[in-house]
Amino acid sequence: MAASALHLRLLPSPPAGVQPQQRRLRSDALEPYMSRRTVELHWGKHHQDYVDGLNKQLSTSPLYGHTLEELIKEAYNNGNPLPEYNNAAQVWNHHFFWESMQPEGGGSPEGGVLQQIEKDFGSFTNFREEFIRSALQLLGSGWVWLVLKRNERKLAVVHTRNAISPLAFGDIPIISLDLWEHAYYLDYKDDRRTYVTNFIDHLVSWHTVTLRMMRAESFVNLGEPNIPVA
Amino acid sequence: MAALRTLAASKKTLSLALGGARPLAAAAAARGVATTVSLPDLPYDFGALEPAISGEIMQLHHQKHHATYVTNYNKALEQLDAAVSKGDASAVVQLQGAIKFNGGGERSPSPSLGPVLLLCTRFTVFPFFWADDDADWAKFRGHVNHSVFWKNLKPISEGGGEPPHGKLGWAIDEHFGSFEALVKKMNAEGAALQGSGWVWLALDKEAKMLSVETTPNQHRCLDMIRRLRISFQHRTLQWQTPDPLVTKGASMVPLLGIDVWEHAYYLQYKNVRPDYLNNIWKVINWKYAGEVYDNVLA
Repeated sequence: MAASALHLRLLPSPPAGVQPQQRRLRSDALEPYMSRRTVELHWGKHHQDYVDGLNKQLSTSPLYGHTLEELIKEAYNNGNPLPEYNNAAQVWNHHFFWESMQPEGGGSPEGGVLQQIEKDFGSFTNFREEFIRSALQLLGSGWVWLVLKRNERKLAVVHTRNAISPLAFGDIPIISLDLWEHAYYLDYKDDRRTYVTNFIDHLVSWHTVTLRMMRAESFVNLGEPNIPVA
Repeated sequence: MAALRTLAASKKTLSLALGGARPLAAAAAARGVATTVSLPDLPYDFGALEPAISGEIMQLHHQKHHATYVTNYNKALEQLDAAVSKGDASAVVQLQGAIKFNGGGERSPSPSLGPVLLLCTRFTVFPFFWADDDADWAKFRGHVNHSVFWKNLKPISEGGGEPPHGKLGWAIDEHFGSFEALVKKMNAEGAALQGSGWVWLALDKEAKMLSVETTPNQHRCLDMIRRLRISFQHRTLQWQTPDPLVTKGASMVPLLGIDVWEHAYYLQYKNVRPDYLNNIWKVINWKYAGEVYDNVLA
């Protein structure tokens, strides 16, 4: 897919001590749906602050040495989060978010992903509306996700508050959208609806979603394989 | 099924009580339920708080964010009223978020809603309140918080930023050591708050003590989570004393609240919330806070 060379590509989840992320993409690549100014602030300040904050905490923390995902699960501590939780989760969430987008994204998925969405939501349109509705129902800061629920073995849309991610519940995130006001305020002011609509229509990277679904299927059995009868 | 039959039987009672075409507000008041609210005017121009808070932010904050809370809350009330008049049980349950009584009211007997309430209890009313941030109740609190916030601010030319005098000033010195220490504490707590919320200078009217509190989203000091207790015996709804484990206290009165949702500062200060907090003291209306303090302790 030609667009893959233009992905907002960051380093994959590094072990903590977190390395500063390498940027491979111009910050105006997501215009006009996400401005250069927003990307530079969001990535360069907010995300960077979380990375710096986490590194600082890890320099004296007994949790040093985990991978980022392990760190998040440990620090979530079953709902009584440790001090490292917020920074760790936000580092992960933002990394996941950048990778969920691409220039000239949006449209609709194809193949297996589309089939799974149609199976679990009825139609792609239903999924799209559910995504937007869930995003608008969230009051305050948080995220909206397409997740693959491990136990129910189906896709679902959920929203979470502040830094919480579906990793905390053992589910597998597939798409994330940052709904903290800093993610959209400069471009959209209070108009969260247009921000979410533009994300799902023009920014979401179905290529990345496909890769994530492929990986997720190694953990969740989504159906019986088609074994031909000899 | 029995519950639905109860509701059907009571539909006549309901419509009698609601009196058909009575205006929403009058009907609501008669039933002791919350009335619609309106967006209060700002006591100053949008640009009057510059350079501490830009005119652009004030205009958006007032005309968009606060106005949206007001509109959505009123809409929910109307929908609830319609559902109750039709005896539409499932809609009533769904709109529970808008079942609330005049803010601050301790007790609101509503005999005409008795049968409906019985129905509601079968659907465990209580768990809803733990998910209150998704409810219209949160929009009501958003309206209340912002209404207080506009009064907490004042242009520099009209005395904004002048430190508190009188009883409040002394109480601050006594409790925090100095005015500067209070400012430092509120700045620190406001900056440390994750996500959206408010930082408050609150007065515990029973203990007669000041404290600095933070609340998430649109929670207030007063009622982090207030449980609505349905009394079968008295056929009333009563606000129950909030669970002390999750509340700041039913006796907390806010003297001063600072909105630290990102919309309150982002256009001007971007991610640097500490700068916003440092600067907002220039336009804080200590006179109002002092008046509230004096009234409460009078």
